[in-house]
Amino acid sequence: MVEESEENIKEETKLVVVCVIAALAGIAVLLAYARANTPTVKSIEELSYEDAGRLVLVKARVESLSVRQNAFLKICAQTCITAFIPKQVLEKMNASTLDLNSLKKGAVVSVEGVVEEHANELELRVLTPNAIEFLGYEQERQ
Amino acid sequence: MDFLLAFLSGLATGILGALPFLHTNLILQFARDFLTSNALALFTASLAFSHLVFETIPMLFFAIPAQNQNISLLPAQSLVLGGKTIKAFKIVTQSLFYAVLIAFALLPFALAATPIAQTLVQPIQGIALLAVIALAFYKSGSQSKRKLLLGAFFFTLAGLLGLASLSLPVAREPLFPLLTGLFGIPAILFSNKRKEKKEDEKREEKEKRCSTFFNVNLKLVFYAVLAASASVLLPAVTPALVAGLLFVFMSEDRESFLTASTAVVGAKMVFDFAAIHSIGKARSGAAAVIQNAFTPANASNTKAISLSDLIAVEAAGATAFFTALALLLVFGKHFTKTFRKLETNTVYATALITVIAATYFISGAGGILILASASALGAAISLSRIRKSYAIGALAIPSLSYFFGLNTLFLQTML
Repeated sequence: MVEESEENIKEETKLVVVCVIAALAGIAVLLAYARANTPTVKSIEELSYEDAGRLVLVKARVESLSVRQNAFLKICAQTCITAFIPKQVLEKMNASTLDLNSLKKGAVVSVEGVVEEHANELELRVLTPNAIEFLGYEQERQ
Repeated sequence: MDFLLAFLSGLATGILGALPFLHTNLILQFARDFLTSNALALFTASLAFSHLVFETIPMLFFAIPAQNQNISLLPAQSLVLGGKTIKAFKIVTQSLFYAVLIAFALLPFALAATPIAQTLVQPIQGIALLAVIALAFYKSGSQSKRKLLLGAFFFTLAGLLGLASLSLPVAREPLFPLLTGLFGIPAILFSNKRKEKKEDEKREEKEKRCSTFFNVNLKLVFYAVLAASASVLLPAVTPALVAGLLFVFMSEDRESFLTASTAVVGAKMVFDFAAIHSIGKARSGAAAVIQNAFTPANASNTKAISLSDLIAVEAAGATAFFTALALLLVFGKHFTKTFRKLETNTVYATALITVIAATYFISGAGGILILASASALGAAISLSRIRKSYAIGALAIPSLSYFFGLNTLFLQTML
């Protein structure tokens, strides 16, 4: 009886090890999957709830910028969407790549972010400090 | 008249909660085009509460995690597949009833205390969460060193999986496959294993008879309501995280956990709506719609809603909730009896296939990856015979990394 129980424990330990290896392999695949995930170029009009969770790249003009703890950059083409920039990304962005406050209304930017649904609206969540690129002003581009 | 119609439509539309995967937010997308501001707020309140009641049906009977109650799947399915459908049904309905009742009774105190508590907690959000987790580990000190180390290992591994799933752009609605894998799949797999034992079957029969007189633990419901009232103080705190943290502190029996997790979900809805008055913050999609509905069209930012608006919203919600619960009690009993006749191994297979298909439908191919990894980890934790609550690292570590600003570092490194 005791032997059988020990046998069971050994069997379960083996299973635990297999499960842990499978979980680690799964995490590694998830990380590789995320790294290989390149943004899909889309216009704001094309974005829909189907795109939630997807990494996209949109080009649009700056409509407004609201900076509290986090920043909310409203960008428009024919329709508008808000790019949500978390505080930590904002701090690194202003220090290294792009001073968000320097963007004026009409500036054309490309924004890379994950499409999310927030408060029943679609928004772009900016993940990294180099996700927003200043492309010039509307007049210059015309 | 418009308001009455809006309330009744919300109550009736909430019945759609019985259909798996029909999220409140999706319904609200359509409703916003047809309703004016105040009517929309009343519609949303009655819809949210009615939906909350009816979404228990797919969760209990088809192993499908509901929008708000995804973490309840573990104990609910474990009970249902173990032949205790009536007991699971009673726990869910009674816990919801008492939790919402207690939450409404505590509402005046919550309205007064929340702004003060938020001022105190806001600067130390991350530390507060870290302290709760440290306390949980300290409480686990009674276990052997080996189990504690194993627990810490699984907590960290779950955290890494949580970070990869929730922070990286790998899937839509990543929370669904993550929690289903960690809690739901092992519950289904190991219920099947238990079912094979004849002794258990006899005990189940006995428990079926006992469940006729079952009453939930009101003390536990009260604690869950208190935890739900505190959850509005922090952003990114889901009902699953609150229930999971409660899980760490309490007995791990399925009945207790189902009671607490269901009570958190019910009470949290009452306090989420209250928070849009007391601190001007919307902590759920439905609360955001209500806040926007009461915000003038020309206002640049959303603001706290007035007390009279809050009373109207909570009254509509309460009426919808108790009406929906009465309907569920009437029709649910018949449904439970019919379902009990179907309890065979086919149900396990159907439940597994449904969960996998649902994951692909909701979260896509990335979701299947998350589901597979989470299921392996959930199974490892179950087989290790340690507290299953260590799996909550999948939610706690991403929350900690958010509060301590480490999320950006993780994303920069990984992307």
